[in-house]
Amino acid sequence: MSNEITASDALLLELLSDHQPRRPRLLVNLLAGKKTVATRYWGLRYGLLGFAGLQRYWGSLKLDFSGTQGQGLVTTTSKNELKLTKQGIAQQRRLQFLEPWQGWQASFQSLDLLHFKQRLLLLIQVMSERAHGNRQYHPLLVAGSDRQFIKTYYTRLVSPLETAQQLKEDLQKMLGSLTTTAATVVAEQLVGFENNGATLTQIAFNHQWTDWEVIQADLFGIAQLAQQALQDTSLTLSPLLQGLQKPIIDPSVATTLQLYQRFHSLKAVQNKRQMRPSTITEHLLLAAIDLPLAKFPYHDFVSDLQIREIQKELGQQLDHWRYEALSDRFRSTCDFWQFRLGAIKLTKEGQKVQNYGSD
Amino acid sequence: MAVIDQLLQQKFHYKAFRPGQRATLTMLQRGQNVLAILPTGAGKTLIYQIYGELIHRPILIISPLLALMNDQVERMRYSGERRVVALNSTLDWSERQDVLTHLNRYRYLFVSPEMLANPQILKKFQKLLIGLFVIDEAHCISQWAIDFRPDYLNLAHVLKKLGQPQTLLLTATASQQVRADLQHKLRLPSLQTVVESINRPNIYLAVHHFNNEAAKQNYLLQLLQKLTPSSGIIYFSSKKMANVMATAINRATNLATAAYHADLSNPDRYKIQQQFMNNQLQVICATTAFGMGINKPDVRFVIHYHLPQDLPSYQQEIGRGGRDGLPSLALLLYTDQDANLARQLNSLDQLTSVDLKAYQTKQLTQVAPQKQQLLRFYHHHRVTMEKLRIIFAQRAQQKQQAFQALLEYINQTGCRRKKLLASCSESFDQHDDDCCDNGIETEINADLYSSTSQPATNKPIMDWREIITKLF
Repeated sequence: MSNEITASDALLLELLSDHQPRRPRLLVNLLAGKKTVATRYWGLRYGLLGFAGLQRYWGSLKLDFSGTQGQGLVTTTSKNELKLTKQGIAQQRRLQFLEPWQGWQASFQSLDLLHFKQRLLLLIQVMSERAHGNRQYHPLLVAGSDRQFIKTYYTRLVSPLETAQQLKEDLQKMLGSLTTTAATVVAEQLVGFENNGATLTQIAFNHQWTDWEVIQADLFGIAQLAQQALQDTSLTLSPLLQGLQKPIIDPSVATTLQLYQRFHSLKAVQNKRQMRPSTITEHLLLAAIDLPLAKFPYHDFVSDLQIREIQKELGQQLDHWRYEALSDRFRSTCDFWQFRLGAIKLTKEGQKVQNYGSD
Repeated sequence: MAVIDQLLQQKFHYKAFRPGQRATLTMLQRGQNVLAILPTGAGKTLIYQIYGELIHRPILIISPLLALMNDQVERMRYSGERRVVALNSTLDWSERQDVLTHLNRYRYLFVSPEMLANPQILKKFQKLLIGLFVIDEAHCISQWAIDFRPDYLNLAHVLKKLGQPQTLLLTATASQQVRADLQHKLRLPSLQTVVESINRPNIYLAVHHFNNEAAKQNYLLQLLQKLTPSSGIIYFSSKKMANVMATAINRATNLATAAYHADLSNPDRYKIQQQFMNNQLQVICATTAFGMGINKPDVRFVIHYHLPQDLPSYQQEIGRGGRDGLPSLALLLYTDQDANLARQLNSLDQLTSVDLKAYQTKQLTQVAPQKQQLLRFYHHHRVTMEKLRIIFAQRAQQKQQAFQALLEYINQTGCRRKKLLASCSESFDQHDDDCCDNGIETEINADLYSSTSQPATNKPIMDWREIITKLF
């Protein structure tokens, strides 16, 4: 049993690389959705911003750093960072296989899929029971706001039976566009008349799939359904997305950036917002990390020449850059946050990183 | 026919009261504060439901667990009661405000003690003319208040703020010591007590000792194969182990099994609970998160893979078996390592020198988050460090005694029921072959605990299109 790749192990392998050592604490914070500059910056450096906040969706699936090391898949550097071994990279490739499941990251970062899924499950239960004329049943336990949302949705229906029929047809169409695995995983979770649904663990066991396959297929399937509901407003599931679209950047960060773009003065922004200077620069760094390259005024704070000079002093390996290692001459003209901004710009240029939910 | 009998039959569709229900209601009708110690499955909820119908005033129920609250609310709603709500963290801000603004809409309001510690919320409740203040699972005041849920200590203050409403304490387990403690902590005037025997004679008690974990696991898997197709619960003190064993049971037997613990999402908890209730699942590998409020009559066995917290908790947990009155099994599986694990878990609740220093220097951020909350409570109530040290030392001693009693039950050489009931201050002297193993390990007669209900069968895997078609 100990040599099996658990879902936690598979998740860790997915988050690691064989050439870039990664810090365990940062991975945990990233999955937890922490929005500190350090977490977001290293999330960007690792190319893992699409995983930000997934812990909430996955709930009980937590990173476990012991299993993979015991199996020789992961090694620890002298700085307590993690790297994949040769076996680790081979195992990672074996796990990245199964289904074309890319694309969910953009959906996850732009839509609240957790609440979408809860609304979806409850709506289907309510409509299924209604379609069979059953009024006495235990409703699925979901967040209070989602329960209220579905209650309102239902009470506004002119003809619940017709909507139930339409919902059935929509579901058949929408699930039909998914891979068979994803459609199966989503459908088997549904609850309704004389159907208590299945948990992901049960689905994995019944089909002899791994937990990781099922976890991925679920996220992929739910993300696809949400995208379809977003694009085709005639679908019965489309209203479920109401209020679930996430802004690309935090509203407070956006306000700081807008004020800067209006006044072109950090001091003015600081006065307007009544915030400490460090908070203002943190906001700007977060905006730079989350926005596409062209949408942030890098040149107002750090010039290409300055960036080239930093490269000259510290080399091409951005992960090894340390502000303290810069010459005094340079540090007197460039603050830490400007130095970090330069690294963000170079990272974006180098990675052509996706900006989830933008454009 | 008395009004309570009419309500019982006409509104709640029961033919007769269960032991203790009528006596409790009669005392309540006389305006008395009541402590009702009734066995598990005795229908404690029905008492305040009927009383609510009699007095037409709001009933405030203090409930210890989110899951229990939600279960009770759902069950009451399912049976047609709409004026019920649980004011807890599953409500978002606007819903909570809506409930608080319209408290008088509800007849039955469930809250946690922590919720009532919020002065603004308490103020809202002060405006209600509360008809009955119910403390469900009242033993928690004695069991948890000191070192886990300090807001239970605040309930006397809450009662005072609410104008000392009539109070009903409900529990299935309370020794003389716990009863005295409840009286002391709540400072209730003239508390009347209704005590029914908490003995559940249809539950056979047994303990099996093992040399190591592997032997315990093997035995459990073999036993479960014999117990097919009965429904049962296996309790663990670790979520990880509950997961591991659920997988192992699924693989090694044909019993449909699932793990149930606090890590599950709400929809998954719902699914597992419903599957178990509908016999789609036969075995639940659970932590104590599962059970309070679960009312499945034909649970044929409750097995403890790890040690329960103490004997009263054990009494409570095994009480989820055999509610239909048919024979059922309570088996505790024990290795010496389990005692070490339990000691370790208990020691986590004790205050360390670091905790005490942080308390003294008011630097509470230096202690673990759960302890921070605890220490903040004492700090807020201006408890001196010396007093705090004494309180926790006394609690540690109580726990040690309770643990010792549990070990004595495990190593008992005579009737186990006598020992178990003694922990709740009940005497017992009617041992027979159906009572317990009498301290001698014997083979479990699995035939006695075979189910009369339909065996769970794994539903054939359906194509997703078929699932959608059947749903609508």
